[in-house]
Amino acid sequence: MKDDIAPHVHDITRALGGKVSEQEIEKELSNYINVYRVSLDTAKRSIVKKHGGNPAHLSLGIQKTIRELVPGENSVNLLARFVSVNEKTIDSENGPRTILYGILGDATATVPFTAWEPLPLEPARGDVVRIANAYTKEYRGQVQVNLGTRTVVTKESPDLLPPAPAGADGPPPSAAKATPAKIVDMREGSSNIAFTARVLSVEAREVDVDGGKKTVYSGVLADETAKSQFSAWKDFALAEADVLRVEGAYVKSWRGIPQISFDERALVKKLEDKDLPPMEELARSPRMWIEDLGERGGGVDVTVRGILIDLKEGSGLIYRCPECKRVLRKGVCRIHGEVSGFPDLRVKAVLDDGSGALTAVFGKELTEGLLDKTVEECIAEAKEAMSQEVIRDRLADLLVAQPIEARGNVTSDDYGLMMIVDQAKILKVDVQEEARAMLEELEGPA
Amino acid sequence: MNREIAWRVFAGEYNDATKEVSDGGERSPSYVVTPLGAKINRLFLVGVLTDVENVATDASPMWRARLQDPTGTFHLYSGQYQPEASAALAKLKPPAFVAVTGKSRVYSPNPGTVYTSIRPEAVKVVDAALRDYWILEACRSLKRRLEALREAYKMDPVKKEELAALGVKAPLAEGIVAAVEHYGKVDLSRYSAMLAEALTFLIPELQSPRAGEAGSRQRCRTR
Repeated sequence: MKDDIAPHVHDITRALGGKVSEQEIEKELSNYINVYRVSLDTAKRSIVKKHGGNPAHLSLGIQKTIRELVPGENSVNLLARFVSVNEKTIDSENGPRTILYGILGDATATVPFTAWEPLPLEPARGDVVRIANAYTKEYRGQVQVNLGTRTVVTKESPDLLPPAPAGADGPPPSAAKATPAKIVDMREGSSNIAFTARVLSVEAREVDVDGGKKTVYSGVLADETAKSQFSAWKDFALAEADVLRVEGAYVKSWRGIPQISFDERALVKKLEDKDLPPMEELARSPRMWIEDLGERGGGVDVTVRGILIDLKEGSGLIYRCPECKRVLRKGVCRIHGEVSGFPDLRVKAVLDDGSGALTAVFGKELTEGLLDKTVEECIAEAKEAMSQEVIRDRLADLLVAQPIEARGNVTSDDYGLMMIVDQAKILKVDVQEEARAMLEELEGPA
Repeated sequence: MNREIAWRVFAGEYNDATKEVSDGGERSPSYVVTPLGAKINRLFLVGVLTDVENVATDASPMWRARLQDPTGTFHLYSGQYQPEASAALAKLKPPAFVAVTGKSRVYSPNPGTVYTSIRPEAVKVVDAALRDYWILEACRSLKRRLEALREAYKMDPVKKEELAALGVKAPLAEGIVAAVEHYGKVDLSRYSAMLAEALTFLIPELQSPRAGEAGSRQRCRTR
């Protein structure tokens, strides 16, 4: 035990700037661990705090396997392989910046990660790295590893971990039996899952991967619970209306919506048509509560019922940049400066169903329909009133506090859920009928 | 960072609340926890505005308004930091059907006395049909809490994980744990009676001629 804690004693002493002697720290640490039985991590942090130091200066965590990670850990050390790594640009207070995200794996499990700072090495899929001082958070019910300013990443020999799978990025090969899942229950990062679904649509397209061209077959799958977009990285001769059994698929996410992927390592079988309900039934848009969409991260072609409780900034008659289509503010585009914009109509509103809220975006056609006016008529009206705001006010009169049913795709990001509305209708409910039914249920046999 | 849910909750339940919680941290939102475990930061209400009054000065007004639902009265306070809601309230003449989104507030003038109120964000005149629809939504919401609470009261101690296993979602499960901790196990019959009363309000043939507030709804002469 003494040998095990020596590096940590040193770490604590260093974090305290040598204010307290190593002997004293050692005594204290062993007291925490052996007498009070708290975890090493907690013990170290409390000791540093107690002596007036900053626990963030601790640099030595305990190396863990990915399976052991829990949310909220502050100095996580891992030996892991990049199962996938991607780049994206996000808007931050200091302008756009590039971050890396993807999946890390070791022999025990895989976990999504985000690197908020540039890494000192060019990470490639399959690379093995030692990560010191990362931190974990919970994101949509799943542990996520974050690499921040204090995190140190060093490249290691690839044979320290079992090899990564060949082919498109996916989970490590596993002899384990695939886990059965319904589409509604699928979450980003799940791997080696098995499901039965019907192909609602499929098309082939060419994509660039690692410099080469590849054909990917993508479209929409559905089971009785939900729909999902999918990508098949091999030609399984999929056709519309096929009923499939797929084993060894994995789930990635696009803007928060879980999406199914499978490749040559998956087992794909065609089942009989009667094994799932017919196309028309599966093609229907399932009604969902917003809290469930929030838990999932989004959904494909779902229906929600709620009340539009607020009309957001940027609703009504707007002008967009001819170059990039961004909405202009006072005739100025954030990227292209002063431009002559083209007119558009839209609604951005908060739709709340009592279980959660999302931002519902209605495009031009729907907004014209709601107003019973064309863009041109709106421009004329705004000119006459000498204010663009008249259109927004008109929409607020029509929509705020209005119960509606909306159908569309729901995505999510740091600002919450967003639905791009395909269809919307004013909700008409027979209140008396529903009240009678609920009252009968209450007064019925207890 | 998700937007706070707009709870549909009856005045009868909201005004019974005496507990405010915050998740800690200076800028984290505060919540009013009702005895049934609704953990409320934002509300959406539809009711009858019965009076509006400026309780401060003309230069810097503070509007106090009362909004009635079938179970009780909500108290709204809107001042200079709620310009849109204040402007709307200033123009309103009671009685009127009004929809309000607002933030939950508690006020404790002295130890042992707690009043709940609402700081409106938006106020809009609506019609009787929407008021009825709101009552139905509030009934569904109340029913869900009553069912979850009946299960929770069978547990000792009440645990979030066990509630989750029964299908109670995280926000309500957290609220229920906080509610049981503060209020103990309350008499649920008061709230099931409230639910039945609110449902009765929606069914014309069950109404006595004098029931409910003055409104445009059609009534039957006999019970």
